[in-house]
Amino acid sequence: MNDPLAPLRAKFRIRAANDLARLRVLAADDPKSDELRTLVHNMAGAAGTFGYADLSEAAKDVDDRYFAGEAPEPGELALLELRLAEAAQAG
Amino acid sequence: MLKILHVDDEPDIREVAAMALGIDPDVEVRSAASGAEALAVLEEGWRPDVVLLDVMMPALDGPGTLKRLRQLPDHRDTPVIFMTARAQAQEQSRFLGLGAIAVIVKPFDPMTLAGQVRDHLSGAR
Repeated sequence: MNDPLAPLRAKFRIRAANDLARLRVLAADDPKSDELRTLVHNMAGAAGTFGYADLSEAAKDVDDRYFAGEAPEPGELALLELRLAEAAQAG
Repeated sequence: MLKILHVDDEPDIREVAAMALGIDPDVEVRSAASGAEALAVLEEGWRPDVVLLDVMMPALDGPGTLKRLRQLPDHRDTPVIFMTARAQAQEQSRFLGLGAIAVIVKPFDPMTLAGQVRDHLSGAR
């Protein structure tokens, strides 16, 4: 069955790969930077729309930390990295 | 014809919403990449039946855009639906208190978005 969203999902997978690389750089530099917060917040809203619910949930957990004025736990960022990698490699 | 103005700074979200809404033959959708761009579309005379407005945008955010939109004589009553990744009840209540008729939580299902919008519009009338 033809999936009208397939081309956009493919494009999103490229974004996930790019965001993963960017997240690693930003998290190593400053886990509370505005750029990282924006990346995470946008991913929380977008990923599920493209069918990547696990990635959206992982991003939401980190986003919630930011909104509470806290830094994310290392394990939360690690899970977000994992979910981004999974999305980037999804077929 | 249901005319929708969709406002979001994220290109991916604008693209998927425009594509999904565009599948519906009874929907006409225009997209704007910022609050300022949305206001420009309205000021040039386009009259949407509803505005889908992202909350978190750089420069002019969703609430700020809504405030400016209400100052346009033709859009004091134009229905606005906020779209946000912030799903907590108190945040949604705050958005409704600003004058939106509804809040759609991101992530959203693109293929049911037009139906959700219609349901919210029906509920608001």
